[in-house]
Amino acid sequence: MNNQKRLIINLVILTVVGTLGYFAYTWISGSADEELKIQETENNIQSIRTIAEISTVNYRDEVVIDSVEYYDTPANIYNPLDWYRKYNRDVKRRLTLIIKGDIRYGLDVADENFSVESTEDSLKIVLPEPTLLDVILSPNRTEVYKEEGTWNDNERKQMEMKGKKKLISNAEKFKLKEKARENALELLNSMIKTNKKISIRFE
Amino acid sequence: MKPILYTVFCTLFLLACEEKNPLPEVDAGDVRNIGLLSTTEYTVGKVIVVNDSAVEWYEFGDRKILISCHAKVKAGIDLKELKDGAIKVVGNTIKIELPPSKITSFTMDPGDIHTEMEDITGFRNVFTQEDKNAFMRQGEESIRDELDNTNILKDAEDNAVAFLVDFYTQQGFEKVIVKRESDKQ
Repeated sequence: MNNQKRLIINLVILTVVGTLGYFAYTWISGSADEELKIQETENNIQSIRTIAEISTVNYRDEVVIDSVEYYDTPANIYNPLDWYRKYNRDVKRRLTLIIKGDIRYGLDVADENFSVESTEDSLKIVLPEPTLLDVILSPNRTEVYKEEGTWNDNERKQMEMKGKKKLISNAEKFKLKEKARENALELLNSMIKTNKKISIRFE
Repeated sequence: MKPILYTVFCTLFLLACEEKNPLPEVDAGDVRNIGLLSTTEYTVGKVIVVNDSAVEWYEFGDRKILISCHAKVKAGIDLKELKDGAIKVVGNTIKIELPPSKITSFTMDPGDIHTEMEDITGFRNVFTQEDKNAFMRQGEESIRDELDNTNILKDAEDNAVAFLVDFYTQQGFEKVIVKRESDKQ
């Protein structure tokens, strides 16, 4: 009976200490959570390039890249220091990113691969084969969903590059090059205003 | 008996508090038909500077970070905005009403972002990847806001005009007149 009473008192003390600790932690971390502002610095234009790209298909997708590392040895249940490990299913560190991106296919119409030949009664247009033009990613479209433990930039960068590859491979499943070709034909036909016989060819 | 009872109770207590944090559902891919003519590409560089000095009584030490990044920005016109009445042919002359130029793509590739310097003193925490992503988001916003002060849209419009003049001249038109959005104002 005495032991049971002591157990209850200990549990009550533990709960009170835990609750106070939790409130102290949320108070301190809450004030530290205010978003830090970057300093005003100049943006430098490093290059300006004239291009001629006709994007005809846009594929929008998002991928989740998850990296988890577990402890090598099992947690010792009798060691209070290992209890959090047990609670956290032996996860040593984890980084989960949600990456949203756009993939664009279309025609890169440089001078060498694009020609128009006009005669009295016909118009022949030679276009390059559709290709992957853009993989549009940016920090505003990347979310760090879960971060446990310490992760360095190189590891995060590798995960982002993996996400980029996954986006491209997802896009490839939709045979977007063919779709880009169809859309390019449709677009050019709507732009060409002539009574001549039109022939459009991809090379 | 008592230690075992304690251990069993605490283990059950901890396991009962397991956080349910499943991975988010991912939207299926969305394919759209577009018709963007990109004619200009700017590469913009920026150094993101964050200086987090201690302000609260419990903070001891400073945190500083410098991140360099590049954004590739393309601009041009939306050919789908060339409506039916936008292209008129009179004999050997073609008149085109050019839609306004706009930013067609903005990319900050992860490979173009580097932490150049990170300095943490005292008992301050290291910058997490979430912190760094938040700084890069602000950097992206800053680059986007500054684009209005560059000539990117003007360059894109000039190059689009040159492209269309060349395109229609090669088709046999003797005169190609391109009416810009800015001409209307």
